[in-house]
This record gives sequence, C-alpha cells and structure tokens, in this order.
Amino acid sequence: MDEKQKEQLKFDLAELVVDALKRNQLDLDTTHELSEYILDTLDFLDTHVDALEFLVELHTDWNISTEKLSVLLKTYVNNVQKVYAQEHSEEPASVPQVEDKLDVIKNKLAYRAQ
Amino acid sequence: MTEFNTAENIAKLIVRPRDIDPTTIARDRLVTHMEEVLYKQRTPLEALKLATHPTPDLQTLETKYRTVGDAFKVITPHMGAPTTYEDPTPGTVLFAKKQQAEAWGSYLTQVVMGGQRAFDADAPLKTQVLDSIVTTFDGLPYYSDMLSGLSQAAKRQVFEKFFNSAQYLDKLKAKLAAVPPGTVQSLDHEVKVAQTALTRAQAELAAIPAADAAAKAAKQIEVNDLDTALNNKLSARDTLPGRVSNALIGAPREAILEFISDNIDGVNTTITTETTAALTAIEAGARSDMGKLSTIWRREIVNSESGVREKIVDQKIMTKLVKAYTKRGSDGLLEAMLDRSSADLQRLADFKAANPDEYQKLVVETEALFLADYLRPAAGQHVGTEIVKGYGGKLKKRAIRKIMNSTDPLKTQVLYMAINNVRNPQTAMLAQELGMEDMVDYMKKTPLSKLKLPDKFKKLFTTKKGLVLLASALGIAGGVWYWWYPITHALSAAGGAIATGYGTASTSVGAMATSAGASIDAAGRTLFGTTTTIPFVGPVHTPGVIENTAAATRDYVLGTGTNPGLLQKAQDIINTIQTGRPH
Repeated sequence: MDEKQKEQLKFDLAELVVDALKRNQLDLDTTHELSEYILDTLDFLDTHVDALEFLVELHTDWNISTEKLSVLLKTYVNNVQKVYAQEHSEEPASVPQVEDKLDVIKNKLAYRAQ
Repeated sequence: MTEFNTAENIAKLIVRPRDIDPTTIARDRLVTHMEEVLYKQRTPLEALKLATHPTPDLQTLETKYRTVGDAFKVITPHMGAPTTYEDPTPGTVLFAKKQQAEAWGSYLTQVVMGGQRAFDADAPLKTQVLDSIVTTFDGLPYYSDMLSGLSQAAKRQVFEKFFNSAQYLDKLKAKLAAVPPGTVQSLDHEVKVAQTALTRAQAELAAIPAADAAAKAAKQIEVNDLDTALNNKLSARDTLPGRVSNALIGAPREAILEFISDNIDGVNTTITTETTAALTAIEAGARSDMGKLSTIWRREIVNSESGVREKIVDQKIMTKLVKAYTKRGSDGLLEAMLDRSSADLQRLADFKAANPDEYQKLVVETEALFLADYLRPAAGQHVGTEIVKGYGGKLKKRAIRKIMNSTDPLKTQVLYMAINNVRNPQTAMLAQELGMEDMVDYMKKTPLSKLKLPDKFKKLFTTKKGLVLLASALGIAGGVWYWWYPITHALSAAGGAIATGYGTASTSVGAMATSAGASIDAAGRTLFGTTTTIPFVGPVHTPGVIENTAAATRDYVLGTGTNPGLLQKAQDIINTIQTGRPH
C-alpha cells in the first residue's frame, strides 16, 4: 500500500471502531483495548494482505460484525485479488545461485575470525 | 495553523479513546469524544471533500459538526450571543474544527456583509460579490497563498470560475429575487422616513377636533396604514441579514469540490511548504536544547529527524516490548514484535516447531534490534528514556551481557542484515573496508524478495522504521564489538552512513547511533573491563525454510486444496454479516 492508502486505512479503522461502539458491538473496555491494539498494529500493516488479515481478525477475535466491516472487507478482498492477479501475470524471478557465494562468505568470515 | 498541518494530522489519524478512562465515562460521551477526535483530525480540505462526498456516517457527523462546506451555508452574522461547539448559536460559522470556526468566522461574516452591500448597490452585482469573496479569501490561510501574486481581476476570475461552474450565481440571483433591495442602512432610512410620516400623521390626527368625525376617521386610516408600513419596514430591516443568508443556503457542493480540485495543487504545495518549514524549525531550534524539552517534543524531534512521522519510538510500543521481554523473555519479545494476531502467532509457533534453529536465529536478531533500540537511552539521546526509567540499569546490564555472552551469530547477523537490506554506497564501502566485498556483491544481486527472512520480520528491515533500528543497532554493535574486533569506529559510523544514505532528514539518527555506540562502548568498559578479543564462532545465516515464505504466504492468502485462504475467510465473513448472522 502506498502512503495514501495507509492513511485511508487508518481512517477506516478508526471509523470502524467508533461505528462498532455506537452499535453496541463493543463495550467500553473492549473499545479501549482494541484501539490500543490498533495503534500498536498500524505500523505493521504495510500491504493489502496485512490489512485484510487484520480486518478478518477484527471479526474473529473482536467480534465486530458491522456493515462497515463488510464494506472494508470487500474493498481489501478486491485489492488483494488485484495484487495476486498482477503477480500471476508476471514472470517469476529467477532464483540466484547463492550457495556458492554463501560458502565464500562463510569461509571468509571464518578466516577473519581466526 | 499547525493544527491543520497535514503531516501532523496524518500521524494522529486514529481514535485515541485511551486518553479517557473508560470506567468513568459514559458510552455516549466516549462516542462523541471519538467522533470529535476523528473528525477534528481532518484537514480543512479533507473535511471539504467529505462534505462533498458524504457517507451516511459522515453525513451524521456533518450535521453535528459543521464543515467547511457549510461555510457557504451558515454565515449569518454572529449576534454576540455565547456559543459552544456542541450547541452552536444560530448564525455562528462552524467548520470542521472549533478553532477553525473561530478563526475564520469573522472572514466569512464579511462575505455576508459584503454580499449585502453588493446586492443593494448599482454597481454590477457579480463584481461586487466577487470582490467581497476575494477580500475574504485573501485573508484565509492557504487560500491567501494560492491567490498571492494574482491581480484583483485574476482573483475575481478564480472565483468567477467557481461560481460559474456551478451556476451558483444564477441560483443565488433566483433566491435573492425574494429579497427586497436595500441594505440595513437604507432600510433603516426608510424606517425613519416611515416613522416620521407616522408621527406626523398621528399629530395631525390628534389635532383634528372630535366633532369632525369624518376627517378624524380618514386620518385614523392613514395613521393605521403608516403604522403597518412602518412595521413592514422594520421587519424588512431586521430580517434582512437572515434572508440574505437564507438565500445563500444551497451552494452546490459539486461546485465547491470542483473549485477546490482546480486549485488543490497549489493548496497542497502550500501545506507541504509549511510542513517542511515547521520541521526545519523544530530540528534547527529545538535539537540543541533537546534535553530540556518535554517528552512529547523530544518525540516530535526524533520523529522528524527520521524523515517520517512514523511512530518509530512509540512509547507504548516500546513499553509493550519491554514488558514482553522482561516477562516472557525472547519468545515474548518476538511475539510482541510480530504483533499479536492469532494467525501470526500460530505461524510463528509452527515455524518454531519445524525449524528450531531458524527460530533461534530470529529470536537473536529480534532481540538484538530490540535491545539496540532499548539501549539507546544509555546515550542520553533517546526519547525512550522515560520509558525505561522504571526498569533501571539492571536490564541494561543484562542486555549488554546477553549481547556480549551470546555465541549466536549476532555480530554476523547484524552485519549481514545491514548489508542485505541497506544498499547504499557508504555501507558498501564499509563492507569493503571489512573485507566483505563478496557478501556485498551477493547481497546486491539478491532481490529483496529473496531475503532469508519471513515477511513480517523483513518489514523491520525494509521500512524506514527498520532502518532506524538498524542504524542504532550498528551503533550499539560498534560499541559492543570493541571487545571483539578493533573496528569500533567503523561500525559506529555505519549507523550514520546508513541514515545518511537514506536522506539528510535521517542524518541525526545516525549521529544518535554513533553516540549510542560510544556510550555502550563506555558502559561495556565499565562492566567488562579492558578490551578483549572474542573469537568469531557464528555461522552465516543459511537458507532454510524461510525462503519459501513467499509461496507460503500465497497459500495462506489464496488457500490450498481444502484449506480456505484469507480471501475465502474474508468472503465468509462478508456473507455472514450480510445475511444478518453476526459472528
């Protein structure tokens, strides 16, 4: 996700929590805890998969079932599908032959350590 | 106008009910608080966009908290009565933010007053309205910059485009057709004329002899008519502002949006310039006296130094990590750093069971980076000083001992990761200095996607946050390695090199890392005495199951065989919600 999308996600999550609280799907203590959890987690939500995974978690672990969550899930399902469709259309990157190089490095490090 | 600073707002774009004790606040108040926080964090332009493209929820909010869009609606002059944000007195201009309303209210009142003058005058209506609008916006933040340098005629054109694009003026004229001409002043004059006529007629009525009943009755009718006329004039005078304002109601949102979109680049440039200037000022003015600043300002400085407004050193996160580390050791730390989602923890547990050696390396790497960040307060440079006060020096010593005593390939890992993930010339030069060109060469040819680290952990090294941690880790490692290899200065400098390589804004992070390295160096001397050379025993990070992470992630998302993937889980939840069977 680019920065703009990340900011939008933050907005969406914040609104989701408020909405869930208003609809009595969260009690005060849980809201408090969840908001802290979101704040702690935001730094790790870098991809659409991360975002989708987090939204799923909000349902399975935090029992949020609002229409807003449904809308957000659809959005990120679409985003993830697009990402994978894009990846599928690209040639897989060639795997470099790293083993030999690693041996060289190991030897060099071992040599230097002696 | 720092409260409208985009970058600052972005950094806070999340509801923070933890500012409130949930046990002492009613649900409604908490909801209101959260809505306010959320809504206030919008910039004026964002608020305007929301006003023009409202979602149902935001429409509710908008009704509650007037937005910039409403500036064109609710602009009756304030009559001096007290007002509050929650319960605005009719006639008060309110925007997305209370302070904004207070700051901008007078200007927008001028719009109305200017409009009144224009509607009454003989001069072309449009020009007068446009001049009034230009005068108003010339005094507003952002817009004044946007308009600066333009002639008055050009400024009129800007707003004329706005009005014309929405056919605003035609609509306005139609609405104003119901408003009689005349300013308050001219209507006041008419009132006085009517009052004089009535007074005169009343005097004449009194002078008519009672015996002349017919003349008296006729004069009485005249007096009554004049009295009615006076009342009408008074009404026209007193209600004019309200009627003009009502006529302005209904400014099309599309027009406002179009206007803003036509000018958004200029506005954004202005905001960016202001943001940059503010950051520069903070860095230049405050860093020298950093120690005297409050924690929150030191956080600001550190965040700005990193070049981003990320919560790199978020106190809460650090506190969580420290607690996790002290309570559950390395395992707890790793779990906490990976976040607490059940899926991640399960994957971590699976990974640990299947690959205990790889897991142990992860623990060491994580611990090294955590400790590096955690230990930076030792250099007196880190904002986390406040956090670790409660833990005292005991844990610091323990941390240093752990690094020192570790036979794990900490030193190799740190350098490996540094070169692997931070590809700048300075690091390459450092590696060359250390005789590790081959490693650098290999790293350069290895795409990031092939790094031998799981995705979640990789983030720590492929993000700016990770870079800062890494920079400090090298600084620390430089200090620790003093006893291992005589390369203290080189590794301490590496932190600076890395940070420098990623932009001047991050330079001071490198300086912090260097200082941290020096500080740990001194601390290590105190703890462990004189320089010792410890033989290197750690192996290089070898390829393992982790390199299959990409494929595993794909399976996790798309699913395999009978195992539903993340997408399917999400779809199931969507279906559950939509069929009204909440989880």
